[in-house]
Amino acid sequence: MQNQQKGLSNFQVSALVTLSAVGMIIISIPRIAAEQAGIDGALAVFLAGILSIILAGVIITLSKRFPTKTVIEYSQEILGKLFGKVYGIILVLYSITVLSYILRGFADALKVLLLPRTPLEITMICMLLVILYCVHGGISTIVRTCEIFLLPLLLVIVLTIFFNLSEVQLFRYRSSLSNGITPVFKAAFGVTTAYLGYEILFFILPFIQDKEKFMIFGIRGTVLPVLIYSGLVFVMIGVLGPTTTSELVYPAIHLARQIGIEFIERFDILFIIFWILAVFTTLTSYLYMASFSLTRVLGMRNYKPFILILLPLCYVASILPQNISEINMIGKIVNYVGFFVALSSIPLLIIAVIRKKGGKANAEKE
Amino acid sequence: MLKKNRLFCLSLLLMFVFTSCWDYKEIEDKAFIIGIALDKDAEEDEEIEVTFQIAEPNTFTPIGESEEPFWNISETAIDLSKAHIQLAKRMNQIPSLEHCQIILIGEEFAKTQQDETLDFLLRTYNIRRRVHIGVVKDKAKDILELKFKTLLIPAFVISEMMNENHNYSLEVTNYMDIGGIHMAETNNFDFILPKLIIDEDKLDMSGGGVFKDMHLVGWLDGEEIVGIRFLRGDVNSGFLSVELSEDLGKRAMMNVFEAVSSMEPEIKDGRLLVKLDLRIEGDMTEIVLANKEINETEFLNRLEKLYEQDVKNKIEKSFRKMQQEFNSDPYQLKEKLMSYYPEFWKENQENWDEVYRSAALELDVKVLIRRIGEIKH
Repeated sequence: MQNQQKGLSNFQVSALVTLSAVGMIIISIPRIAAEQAGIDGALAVFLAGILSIILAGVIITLSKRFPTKTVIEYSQEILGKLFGKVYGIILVLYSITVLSYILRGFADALKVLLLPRTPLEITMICMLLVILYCVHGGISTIVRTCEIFLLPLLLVIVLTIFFNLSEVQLFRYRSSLSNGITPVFKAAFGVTTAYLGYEILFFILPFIQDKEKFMIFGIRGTVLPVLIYSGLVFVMIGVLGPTTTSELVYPAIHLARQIGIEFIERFDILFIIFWILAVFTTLTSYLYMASFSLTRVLGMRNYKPFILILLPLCYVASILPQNISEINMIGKIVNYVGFFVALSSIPLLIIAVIRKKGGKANAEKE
Repeated sequence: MLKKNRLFCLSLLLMFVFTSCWDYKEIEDKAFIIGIALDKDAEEDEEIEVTFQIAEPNTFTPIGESEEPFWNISETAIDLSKAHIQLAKRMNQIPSLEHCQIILIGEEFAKTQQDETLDFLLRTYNIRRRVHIGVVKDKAKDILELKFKTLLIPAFVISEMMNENHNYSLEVTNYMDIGGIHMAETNNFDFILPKLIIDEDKLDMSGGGVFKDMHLVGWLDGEEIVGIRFLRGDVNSGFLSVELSEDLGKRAMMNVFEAVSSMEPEIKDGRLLVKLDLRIEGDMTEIVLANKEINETEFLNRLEKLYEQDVKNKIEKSFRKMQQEFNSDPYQLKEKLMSYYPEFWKENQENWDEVYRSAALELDVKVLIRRIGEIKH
C-alpha cells in the first residue's frame, strides 16, 4: 500500500497507456489495414488513431470529474446502482474476452513463428502465470514493468521502420484516395481494434500522483501507438504493396525479417522477443481491469483473490476456438465491442453533466 | 526470514520441474539443407526430381580434406514438400531448411510447374524469404555437382555470386528472392531470374530467364540484361565498354559508380508512353589507343555522347525484345500505370497485353565522366 500512496508518475501513466494499446495486434495490423483499405491502409490506421485519441480525451475528462473514483464506482453514481452494476459486469466480460483473444492469438502466432513443437497449452499457462505474478503486485508493479519495457520496444519497432524506409516504393502512394475518402473512413472503424487498451484510462486516476496533468500524459500515451502503427503500415504497404501485405498472416514479422544488418542476421527474432513483452503488458493491464472491476462490482476492496478466480476462466475461454478462422471472427467481434466500450464514455459524460454528478463544484459539496 | 528461505527452496525445485524445451534439437540430429535443385523428371510426366544439397559439418575443418563437405541426394516426387518428407526414409537426421541458401530451377520445370512449388516455400516459417533463386539452362541438378576451387560447396559459391557479382558486372542480374516471387504472384507481374549455364565444366551466370505469368518464356543474354537493368534502375555499379569512332581511338571502358534512373508511364493520345530518365556517372578505366591530339574537354564530351548513344541503343534493343518477343514486363510498369493512371488502368486492364505491345519508349540518358584515372587520355 505504501507504493500506491505515492502514486504513479506522469511518465508511468504514458508508458502504461502506450503498452496497453501496443500488443498482440502489432504483428498483423498491416494485413488488417491492407484488407480493409488497400493502399490507403496507413491513412485508415491514422484516422482510427485520431479517433482513439479523441475517445481517450473523453474518458480522461469523465474520470477527472471523479478524481478519487474508478469507472465502476462513478458509473453507479451516474447511471444509478442497477445500471451501473450492469455496466461494470459488461466491462468484466469484455476484459475477459479481450484477454482470452489476445492470449490465444499470441500463443498461435508463437507456435507458427518460434515454437512449433511446444504445446499451445504450455505457452498459454506460462504466460498466464507470469501475468498473474505481475498483476498480484498491484498497479504500481504493472506500471513499473511498462516503464522498463517501453524504450526497448520502441527501439525495435523504430529500427524495423527505419531500416525498411529505403525500400518503400513511393510511386504506389500516387493512387491513394483514388476511390474517395468514404471507404477510408469505413475502413478506419475496422482497425480501431489496434488501439484497444486505452480503456485502462477509466481505472487509473485514483492512483495518480499529479492528477492535474492526467490529460496531457494520458493523451501522450495514446499518441505513441498512433505513430507506431501508422509508420509500420505505411512502410509495409510501401514495400510490398497492398495485395501482398493482405496475403501475409504476420506481415510485421516479415518486415523485420527483411532487415539484414551485418551483425544481426535474424532481426525477426529480436522483434518477436520484444513483441512478447508488448503482449505481456497488454495482458496484465486487461487482467487488472477484469479483476479490479469484478471486485468493485461485488463491493469488495481486495481484488487479488479474484485474479485466481478469473485466470482459469480466461484459460478455458482462450482454448475454446478451434481454428484460426474462429479466432479471426472473435477478433472482429472484439473490435466492435471494444470500440463501443470506449464510445460509452461519451453518453456517460453527457449524463454526468446533465445529472450534475461529479466535477469540482459537486466534489466540494460532498 | 524462514518464509523467504522456504520460497527460495521452492523456486529451486521449480527450476528442475520446468527445465525442458519441446523445440530443442541436437545439432547432430539435424541435416542442414543448403541448396535445392528442381527438375522435371525424365520419365514420369507429372513428377519432379528434387536434389537436396546437404552440408556435412564434420568436414568443415581443413584437416579432413579427403571427404567432401557436402552430399547430394535426389528424390522423385509430385512436388517439393513431398520430396522433403521423403528424405525421412533415407537418413537418420531431420532435414532442416533454415540454412537453405539457393533454389535452382531447371529449364523444363520452369516452363511448366514452377508456380506449384511456391506455396510450400512461403508457408513454412523455416525457410527465409531472402533465399536466392536462379534458373538453369538444361538440368539444375548438374550445377550442384560442380567443383569449385574457392569454396568447396557449390550452393555457397552460387549464393555468394548472386549476392555480390551484380555489383561488378552489369551482365549479371539478381533482384529476385522467394519474397519477390511471392509479390510477383499476388500482383501478377513478370520478372527475370538470373540464368546459370554450365559451359565446359565452368559456371556462367550472365543473362537471365524471362518469366511471364509465372512461367519461363525465353532467355536473354548478358548484353540484353544490361539494358533491362538500366530500365529497372537496379544498377549500383559495374563496367561499361564502348567502341570508339576512328578519330578518337579504339575502345574504352568505364567504371560506373552511380546510375540513377526513374521510369514513369505517361498516357499520350490513348497510348502508353514509357519515359526513362537515366544518369550514369563513372570513371574511365581504359581508353585503348586514344587520340591525344584532341583537347581534353572535347574528347570527354565526345566520349560521353558516344556512351549515351550506346546505352540508348542497348536499352532500346532490350525493351523491344521484351515487348515484342515475350510480351513480358519486368519493370513493374503495370503497377506504376495502376498508381499513376487508375482510371486508364480500369478501362484498359483487360487488354493490358495490347497496351504494352504498342507502348513507345522515350529515353533521356545522360553520361557523366568524372575522372580518367592515372594517365592522361
